[in-house]
Amino acid sequence: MASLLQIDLGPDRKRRVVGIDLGTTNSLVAYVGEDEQPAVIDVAGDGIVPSVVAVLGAGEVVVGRKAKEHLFTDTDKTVYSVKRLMGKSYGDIERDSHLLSYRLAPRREGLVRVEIGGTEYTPIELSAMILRDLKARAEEHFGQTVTAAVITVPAYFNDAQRQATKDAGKLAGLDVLRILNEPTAAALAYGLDQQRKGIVAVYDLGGGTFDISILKLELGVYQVLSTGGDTYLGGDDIDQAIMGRLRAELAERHGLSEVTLTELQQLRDAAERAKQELSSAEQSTIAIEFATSGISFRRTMSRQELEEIARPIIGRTIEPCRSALRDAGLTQADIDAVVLVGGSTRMPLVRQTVEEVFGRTPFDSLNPDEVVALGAAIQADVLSGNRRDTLLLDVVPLSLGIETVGGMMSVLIPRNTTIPTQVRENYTTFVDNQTGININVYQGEREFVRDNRQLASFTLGPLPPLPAGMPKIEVAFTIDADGILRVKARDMRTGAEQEVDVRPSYGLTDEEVERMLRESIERAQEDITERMLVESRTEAETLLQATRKTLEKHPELIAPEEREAIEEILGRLAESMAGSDHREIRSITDELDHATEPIAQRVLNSSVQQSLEQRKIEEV
Amino acid sequence: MPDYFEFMGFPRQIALDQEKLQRRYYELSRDYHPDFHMQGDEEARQKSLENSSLLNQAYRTLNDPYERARYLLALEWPDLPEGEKKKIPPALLMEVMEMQEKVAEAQFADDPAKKEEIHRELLDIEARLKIKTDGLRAELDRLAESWSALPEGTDRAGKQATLGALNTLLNTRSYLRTLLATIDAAVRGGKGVRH
Repeated sequence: MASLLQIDLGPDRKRRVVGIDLGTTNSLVAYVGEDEQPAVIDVAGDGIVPSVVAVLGAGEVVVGRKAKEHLFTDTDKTVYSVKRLMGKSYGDIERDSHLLSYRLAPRREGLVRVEIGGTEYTPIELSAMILRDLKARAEEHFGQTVTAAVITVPAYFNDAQRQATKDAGKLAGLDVLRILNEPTAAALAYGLDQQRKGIVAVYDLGGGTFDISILKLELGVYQVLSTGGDTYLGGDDIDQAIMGRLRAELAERHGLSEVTLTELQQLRDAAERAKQELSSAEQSTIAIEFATSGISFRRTMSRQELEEIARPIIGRTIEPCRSALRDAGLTQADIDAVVLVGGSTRMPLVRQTVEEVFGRTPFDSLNPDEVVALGAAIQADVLSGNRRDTLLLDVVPLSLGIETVGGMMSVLIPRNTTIPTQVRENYTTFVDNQTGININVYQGEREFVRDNRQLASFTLGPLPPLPAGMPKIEVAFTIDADGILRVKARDMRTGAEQEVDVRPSYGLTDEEVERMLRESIERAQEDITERMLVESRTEAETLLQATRKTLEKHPELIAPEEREAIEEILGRLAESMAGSDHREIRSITDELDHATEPIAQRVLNSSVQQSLEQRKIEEV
Repeated sequence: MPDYFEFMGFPRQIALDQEKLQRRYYELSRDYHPDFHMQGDEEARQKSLENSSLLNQAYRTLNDPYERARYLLALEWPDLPEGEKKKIPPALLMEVMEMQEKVAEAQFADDPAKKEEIHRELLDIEARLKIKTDGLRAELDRLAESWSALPEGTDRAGKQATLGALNTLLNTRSYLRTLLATIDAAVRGGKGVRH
């Protein structure tokens, strides 16, 4: 899909494609120059852009080092580590949302949102702000517009998180040519630098995520054999553990049990500083002056104490390393080199852990902060058609499957399958005149779908009324080179392409992204609140009508207490529509949508008299 | 069904040179991979996605000796009756029954000492089954040899003996794997049936 911001450069001007490392803590943009070597784009010698965004009102957005200054002065308007929120629901981040020094919008179904100055922002929008800044940096450097990029993500990112990152790029006016896995990018930079063959393990521990990838390097070929990780494990967790200890002491020594957002931010900053200092020093002094309460907090921390705090967190990286080895069919002895990536690998305890797991000293002469961006730049060069000496074969990190009888997960594409990959499945109807077949797609390794992450849900149809078993629909599940799912269906009797409306369960539809894009452009000129109000009313009205109609038409499908609950929501919705709070209308609309979901399912089921459980045609 | 052998330019053999296969895989990837077709139009990009997906599956299948043999069997004997595919190999019948008995015993044993004894017996069976599994490789190599020795244009009847033996071997392997997974589940609480 073309982005509105995409500008046609004309045939005589070479299109610049950059590589972007959109990190939890820091972000970088790099490119491959005339000398065919990748380089980070810097401004006055500084190539690192802290992934911090301050939204100061009236559309004033500050990014990077300048935004970092606002962490203490405009704490509730300054957002960091937004990558940890990408593609996440409220349930996902529950356990440490209280440690954030910015506010999340009230809990709801679906994706997490951040609230700044009364406006809600999706992590996608906030990431787009960082990307826009990186884009501007590159444009300033080249003196021309930059419209396309390769953006890196943790290898263990699921479909929703990848899609969210791609959407952020789109929103920033970038044509995202590829979503590239961070450890793979690092291996590219390492391979180019070292010109080596063999089996390489990339251990990538960043601010918020952990990845382990095992690759086979051979004459310009980078074949990923297996990957593993945890997208919620990184330096931030160590900071938070230190903060926890400091907070307990504050309460004990100074009776300060409730802290303000700014104080929380001061604690976070002190924890991070101490952790970093202790990578080279044996001892660090923590000193915080709390302005509001007048408390002056001081204590020292030794490396040994830090390691005590960090050990259980770093220990969580060991099992993914072992299973990646197992999945690759290898043992410790097969590994020729271990490459360290990510700021957290500066910690001596991390190095020690890596040495124990892989039985060798890790390779560390590449800058762990830059290596991912450099690899992304190389891949950008490949995708621009400038380079054919590099071939990258990556894998899908998580198994993809569909729900079958009893809520079991039936795996279609196992984890660590090389991408792109495609699986075709045949479906038919179970009862006469069945008009649709429901398919729920999941990602994860657990046996029951309820323990995995739902990716999408769609209905094949409308099908013409036929006896059971007659329709033959072939569905092609494709995971593209970005690791993102695409679905296509074909009616095998007619050969006609079957329309499939894939509704992402966690993520935004193309329409939503388009809308956000329009909004971000128009925000300055238009009264956004007014438009949102109109939109929310229209949406509410549509659902309200549909619900009333169903209540009338299918009284037998609705239990009395269910009806009562729905009537109550309907009353509140009608009332809110008379008012002018679009957020209230939206949230009650969502509530109604949620409450009527089971009924919709029942209506669908009853129209075909029996359950809609599809029966797969046995492939022979 | 696409012919992976043909697609990757290899003869339809049970044995093949894996190093050569990998080289060919990399070569073809350079032709088909979406990375090298970004400048093309929508149709060219779609074609590259399909070809590349097919290539990845072909390589995955042909690179594993047993997957390759199973695939060859499906190509050569498409009408192989469903029952034939799942028949318990007679040589394994005894083991299957003995093991099932032990697993059931282990489940209902209350006495820890008794339970441990059964576990030990199961581990003995496991060791035996593992040796059997490892031994299948030599049998596969033998079949690969007799398959490649068949003259060009051999008819179905002439192939039957080798294909039948191949089917038995693949069945035996599936059963052994299931048995091993069952023991793993009983003794170590593993996940059970694996494919």
